Formats: sequence, C-alpha cells, structure tokens
Amino acid sequence: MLRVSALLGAVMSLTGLAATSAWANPCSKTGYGTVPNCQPQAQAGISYSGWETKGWAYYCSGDHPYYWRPFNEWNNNCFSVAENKLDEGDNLHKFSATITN
Amino acid sequence: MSKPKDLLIKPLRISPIAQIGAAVVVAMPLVGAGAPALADSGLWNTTRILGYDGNECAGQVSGCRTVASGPVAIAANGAGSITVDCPSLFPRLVGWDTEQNEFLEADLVSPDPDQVAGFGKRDVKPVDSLTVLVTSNADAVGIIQVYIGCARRATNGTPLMSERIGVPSNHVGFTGGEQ
Repeated sequence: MLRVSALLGAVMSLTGLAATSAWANPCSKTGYGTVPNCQPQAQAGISYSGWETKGWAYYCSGDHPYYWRPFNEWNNNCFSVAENKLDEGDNLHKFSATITN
Repeated sequence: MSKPKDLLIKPLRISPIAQIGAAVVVAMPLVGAGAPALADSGLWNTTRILGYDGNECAGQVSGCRTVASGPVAIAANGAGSITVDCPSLFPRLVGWDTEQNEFLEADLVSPDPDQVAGFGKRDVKPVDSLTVLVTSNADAVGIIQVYIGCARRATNGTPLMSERIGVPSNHVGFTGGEQ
C-alpha cells in the first residue's frame, strides 16, 4: 500500500503559518517567489495499490480558502503529479491533479 | 486493504449495458476475475485487479460510513454508469473508491460536493449520491465495485477522487522491443 499526501498554499488574510519541518513550504516556491498571507493546509493522505493513476480534487478551506497556483508540495517518493489547470477552471479554491505511482 | 466492517450493500442504479452483466456476476469475487485465455489484451493485463484502498472516507474525521455497489460487469470494449446513494442517516457524500480491473477507467460524472457548496464547505446543499462512468479499454469483460463514503456531518477539505485507471501492465518495463 502506497500513500501520498498534499500540502497546499492557501491565501486570504491574517499571517501565514510556517510549514512543518517534514515538508517544503508550499507558500514559497523556487522560481515563483513567496505568497503573502499564505497558510499551508495539509490534506488527507490517500492510498494506492500500485501501477495506477487516480485523479484528485483538493480544496482550500477555512479563513484561507483560495488556492494559490501552483503552490503545492507532496510527501511521496514514487509518484508523479500533474496539475490539471483546465479542470480547476475558474474555481479559486480547487487544486486538481492526476497522480500516478 | 480489507473491506470495512460496517460496510453497507445498497441497491444501486446502473445503466442497461452494465445491468446485463451484473445479473451474471453479482456473486463473483473480484480477485482473480477475468478469463485466463484473455490475460493479455494489447497493453492491458485483463486479470490484474486494482485493489480497494479505503480512500472513500479520507479526511473525514469521524462518522463516515461506507456503502458498496456490489460487483458490476462492464462489457468488453463497452461502457456503463453506476450510481450509488448514501443512506438517509448519512446523507453527505465524502468520497469514493473502487476495486476494478486495470483496463477499466472509472470517471466521476456527478457533482463534486465541495464544488456544489463552494468555498470548501459542504453545509449548503448536501450531495447524497455518486455516479461514475466506467469504460472498458480491452476486449474483455471487466468487473468493478464502487465504494462511497457517507457522513452525517461535513468536514471541510476532504479530497475527492475524479478518476481511476491502471497503468497498462504490458507497458510497464517496455523498452522498445516487440511486445
């Protein structure tokens, strides 16, 4: 059983929180800079059986409901992740990805 | 992953194409399903099963109940839709998972609860059922069972699967030679 978890950079107000040490901070990304007033939001882990592809939708919530594209990080070592910007469309809260192990 | 202990089996709504097969295979376990003579169909291994991973309640902190469709057959190179409803005591859809052949593609076609509610909150209008469109990519009958997670109360930010399909087994390790 393989597992993968996501951490999104969500923005709206107040001060941002620091990411946990096990993760890279999704509120700052090499080549993209740092997002102001950004809060890392850890998403629930999901399981894979092996050699398969699943599509997933994640949503920022609470008082930081806006997902700041493409600020996301993943805790995994055998998955490829492709963001589906077309599926996100004009939804300001959604992160959509196709994840294959 | 083992099946949830509080699993509910509910009558499901399936399309005519899938319904014909369901009457034949409803008691068949998914593990080992598929005819050995059709083990290979192009890129696909028609006997490999993508296991149930228990993702239908991912992120729901408590009170999530699993509802299963029961096995449904999809005709060779065919397609069908499967709809599973949440029970009235657990009316809010949380997520879904499957157990299926690798050559089947299951795509969510019903509304995403988060998208319906907006702002990642699920307290505006509960979505109480799930419909997936299942397509067979091989010349073999495929079998799929859909599991949905249902809750009394919503939890913000639970992930929702949008599709599931296997990586073609006969492509894994492909180095350019004859297959």
